[in-house]
Amino acid sequence: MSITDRVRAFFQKNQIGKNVLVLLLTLGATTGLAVLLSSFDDDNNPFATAVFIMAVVIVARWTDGYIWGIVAAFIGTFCVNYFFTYPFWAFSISYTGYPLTFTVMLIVSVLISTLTTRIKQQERLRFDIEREKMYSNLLRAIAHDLRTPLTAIIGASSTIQEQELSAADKIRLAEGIRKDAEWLVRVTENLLSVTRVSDHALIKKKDEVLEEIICSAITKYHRFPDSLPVESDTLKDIIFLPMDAMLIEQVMINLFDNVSAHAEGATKIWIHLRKENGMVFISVEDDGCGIPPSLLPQILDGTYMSKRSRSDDRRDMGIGLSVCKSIIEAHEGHLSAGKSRHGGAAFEFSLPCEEDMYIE
Amino acid sequence: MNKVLQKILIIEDDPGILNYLKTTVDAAGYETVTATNGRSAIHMITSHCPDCILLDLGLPDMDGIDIITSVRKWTLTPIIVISARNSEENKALALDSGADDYITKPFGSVELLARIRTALRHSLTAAENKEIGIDGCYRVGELEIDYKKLRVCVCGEDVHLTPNEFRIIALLGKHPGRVLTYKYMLRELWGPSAPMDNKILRVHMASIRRKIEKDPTNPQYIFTEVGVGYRIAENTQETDN
Repeated sequence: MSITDRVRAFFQKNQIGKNVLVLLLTLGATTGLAVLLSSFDDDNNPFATAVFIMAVVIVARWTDGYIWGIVAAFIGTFCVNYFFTYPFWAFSISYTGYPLTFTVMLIVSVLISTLTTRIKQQERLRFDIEREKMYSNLLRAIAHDLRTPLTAIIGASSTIQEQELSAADKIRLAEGIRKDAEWLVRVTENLLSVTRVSDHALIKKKDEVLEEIICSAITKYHRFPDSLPVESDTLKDIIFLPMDAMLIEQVMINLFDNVSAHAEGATKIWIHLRKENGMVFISVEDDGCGIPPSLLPQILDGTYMSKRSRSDDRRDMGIGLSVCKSIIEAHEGHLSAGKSRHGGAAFEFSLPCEEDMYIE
Repeated sequence: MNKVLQKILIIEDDPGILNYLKTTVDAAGYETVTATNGRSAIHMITSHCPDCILLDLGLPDMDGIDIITSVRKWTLTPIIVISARNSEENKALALDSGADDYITKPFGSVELLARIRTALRHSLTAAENKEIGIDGCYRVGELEIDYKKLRVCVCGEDVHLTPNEFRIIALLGKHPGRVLTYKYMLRELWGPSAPMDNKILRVHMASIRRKIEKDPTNPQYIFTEVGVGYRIAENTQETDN
């Protein structure tokens, strides 16, 4: 965990501490600046008001809620009056024009601070609405995807219960139930991942050995019916990557599953690894039919999913790829789709790696 | 029918899963007793003395870990923990508290029965690996750990492990088929002043994998349980699955 990460974590826990710190630092720096400027021009310091209003804007921008900006406005007005206007080192409003000047300064400061805060709140509101829209799209897609296998499960199990069937028929129906249920498990695991990604506090990044995660993902993928053989590169170095192991495993399982579901004619999956400029690139490739170039731009952002025809084809992974994308982005990496050297599709994602570990 | 059946206690609060577990275990020729909450579970363990316990960690009235610790005070009955995905810490904690194995939901009947057979077999041979006692070697597939000559061979060839690497694989070989947690391995290998960070262990492990596995991402001998620990392949595994 780097120092900036730690500072960010501390501030997330201590909102008040952060706001006080911003307030004190800004006002301190402004006072310093004003003192510096007053040494050039030892008159009645006409710049002081402007400089302190700027400080109020800064405080309002970087703190949460109205109160800190208003506090800064009052302190600023007081400082200007006390330190930087005649009589120095005294609080006075008895000179001509002073009451008006300081009242105006106070009002301007308070107005700016409230305006800044309101703009911030509106931005957050817009962001929330957008996220809400994304969630409801996602929910609609999922609900639609869930209905088909559930119908099949209910149908098959009630047939087994209510009708006289041969043993072979029963086994066939049970097999169908199992396949549908396994598919539902995969969808729910993706949903769990989505909830974890959308709440950043739930992502627990730990240093993990990349090959262990790849190996675990391959093992889990091979439990699925009709999985394909997977061949992976092994890097000479032992690489530790800060990641949430379960989520990255989910990404790889989704990418493998995507090959089994969509890459027609694929016979094998390759994983290629390379390390460049502090990033590790993991590429999942196949020798199937590939992705039509016209689909490439939209295949990762979920619009492809919402635009597809309302087919009841349950092999459609639906949310798989967009889950991968959000997981990778939460890890400060990047997911891209392209053509594979093996003839099919390639999905490559990158993850930042902090340090090199070599075999001693 | 006067054959004495081995008795399995199933502790699970969800009626659907309990029904599935009971049916599967019954059909495999074991006697089953069930408990749906922690208090009745403790009562059942003391009154029935089961040969193996299946324990769901998420019970309504008690933490599953507490059941493990209280059972471990007086018996070594194998405990298999049933846990949900995404709870690696819980799995490691359960193993460190004395559970023998865990199985992650959702699981199939083949996997479940294999775990039960393994657990029952371990309770017969105790913790130590019986084979090592006979000729000082543990063999699985083409892998051979020679505890007398302190070396490891694959396909009859010495793989030249460093002393630390040998100690790690030797420890795993003493508990075939069982997951050893990072914490347990660090304590066994580096003593009470073991480093808290398991990085060093994992670097050694990666190096061992490169030496003994033909394809390190598709291992035959040493398996990684992500977030929990490591497990070495067991001799009878092929016949189990």
